[in-house]
Amino acid sequence: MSSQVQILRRGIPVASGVGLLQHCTNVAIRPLNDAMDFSAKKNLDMNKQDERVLRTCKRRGRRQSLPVVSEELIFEILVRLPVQTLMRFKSVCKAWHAIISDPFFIRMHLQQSTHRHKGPCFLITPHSLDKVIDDEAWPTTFSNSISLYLWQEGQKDASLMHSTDFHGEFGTVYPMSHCDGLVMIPTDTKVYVLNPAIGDVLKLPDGHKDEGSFHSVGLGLDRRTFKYKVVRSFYRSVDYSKRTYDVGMEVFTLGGDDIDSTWRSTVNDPPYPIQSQVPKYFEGSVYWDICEDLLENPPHGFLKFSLEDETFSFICYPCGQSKGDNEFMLTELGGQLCLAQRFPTQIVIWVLPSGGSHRWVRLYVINLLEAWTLEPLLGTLKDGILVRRGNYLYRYDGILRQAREVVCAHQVTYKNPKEGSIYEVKDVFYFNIIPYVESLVRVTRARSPSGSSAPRV
Amino acid sequence: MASAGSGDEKAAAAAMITLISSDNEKFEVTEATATLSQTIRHMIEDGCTDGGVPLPNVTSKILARVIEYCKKHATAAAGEEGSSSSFSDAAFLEVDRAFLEELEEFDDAFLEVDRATLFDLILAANYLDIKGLLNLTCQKVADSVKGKTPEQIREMYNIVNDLTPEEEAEIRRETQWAFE
Repeated sequence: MSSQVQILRRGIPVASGVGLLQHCTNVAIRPLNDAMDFSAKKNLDMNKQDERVLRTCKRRGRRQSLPVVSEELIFEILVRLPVQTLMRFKSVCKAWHAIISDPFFIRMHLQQSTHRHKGPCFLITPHSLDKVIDDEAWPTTFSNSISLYLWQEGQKDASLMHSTDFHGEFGTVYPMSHCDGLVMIPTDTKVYVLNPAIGDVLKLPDGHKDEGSFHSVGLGLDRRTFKYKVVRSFYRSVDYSKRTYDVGMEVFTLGGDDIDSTWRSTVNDPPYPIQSQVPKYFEGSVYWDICEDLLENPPHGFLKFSLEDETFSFICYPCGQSKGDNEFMLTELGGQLCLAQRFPTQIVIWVLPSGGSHRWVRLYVINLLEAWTLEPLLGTLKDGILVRRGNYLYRYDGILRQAREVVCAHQVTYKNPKEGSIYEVKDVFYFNIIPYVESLVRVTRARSPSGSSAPRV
Repeated sequence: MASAGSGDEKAAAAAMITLISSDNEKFEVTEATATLSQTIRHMIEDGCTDGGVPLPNVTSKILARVIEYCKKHATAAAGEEGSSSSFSDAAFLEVDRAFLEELEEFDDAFLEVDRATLFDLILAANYLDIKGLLNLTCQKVADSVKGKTPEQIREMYNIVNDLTPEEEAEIRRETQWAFE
């Protein structure tokens, strides 16, 4: 049976307040109590405006047996679909291809994607070693075959999302980071950024030569230009024994307009030496630890680097505290920037209220034995905070004051659904475990259907 | 509803809004229910709801369903007030949970409609600018097309493929993995 669906664009009916009011005066007043007539009457005397809107619709089709909806509502429906389905739907027609490739759609889709899953999702990457060399502080013989598996809380299996072999390009992999569906893999030689959901991989060009021991690289979104940026700190020179250093910072913009995008040094060098560590990204800024070993009187706080204006600012620890024996760790909990202060049997969670405040507020305390070994990953008081210790994830229940094991990365079954194979975990040296949200964000330049720019891998 | 013959009658009646469907059915709803629709909220703010709000794009059948949704969710919105923070007081969490579960059950039952009605609800939600209802109904449609092929989608929605064979081949080549 046919349904005659009227085509509306948001805003038009609202904007026609005058028309509505005129219509109002013409309405025949009927008794309220006969209002509940459920017979399927159709509004046949469609007003002129609707007809006009109907004519402007691009894909009206034949006098339809199926509903026809405006491009705006197609957007509303598509934006709620998973990435794989959207990649398929790119070849439905030109209009759908245009919608799905549109940067605004990609942003809205990401927002939806963040709320779609009930349980949190993680990407787990098991790293094995090609061979074991004794006495290495951190191995230099990592397998160059990198496989990212998607795992959702409550599941026994993780399924392969993306796999790339980097063919001996690096010896060591460092902890990965994630932003909006993009995964950054820092290694001892190269830095890679990929979107595993769409199979888009970018190898960044080499940056400034670093005399430091470890690539300190952050990934985040410049919320003014909606471009993703990779930020890297490096030492032009450093001598820990003499406490002398020359530190620099450089930025690489993803999806830049130039084919030959390059690293660009920031206008000002960082005001303090940067700790060799994975920095924390939160809402447009990257937060770095300061390397205290290089300073006689280190300041008590973090260095914040804004991806928008590419300037540095300083964030104090709570209540002017010094680091002392406690460890401070930045993390994002419940959509807020939090600071976990780790004591032997306690983690105090501080929050930096949004709105540019620089004053930490004490929010919450986790009481657990060996709390200092825990790394809070994500969560809220409501659902419990997920913490990591080694290969284990636990969920801490604030009411019961208990941590419950959620998963052990070693006990997950790593499946390749396409080949039906299972990854052998017994030789895994280290697991990268990062919270993850799938997105359509590209790291290489987008190609139009007739375009010719090639991805750089 | 207003109680007869008291001084409160006027105040209670003032908080009621009359919605008029395209087929001239009248529905009397509370302001709290009606203002889930941003479109109606703006009309109330502009003071143009006297004599009823005509909704020439919504039939009585659909409007009745929309009001059913709004009534339920207006109650929910009132109950949720003050507990929106992600770190809200633990004592309220259990109440919150039961509330949300009940709401979810309502939503599931609400969506048990045929496809034509579902699209009518989407159009009404869009026209009336009711975010929750638009989200609910669009998600339902999205779930129904998940995993379909482009050919199935064109068939389902009468979409003409206007891509040239070259363009289609190029797109398919780039997204081939999504079909495996």
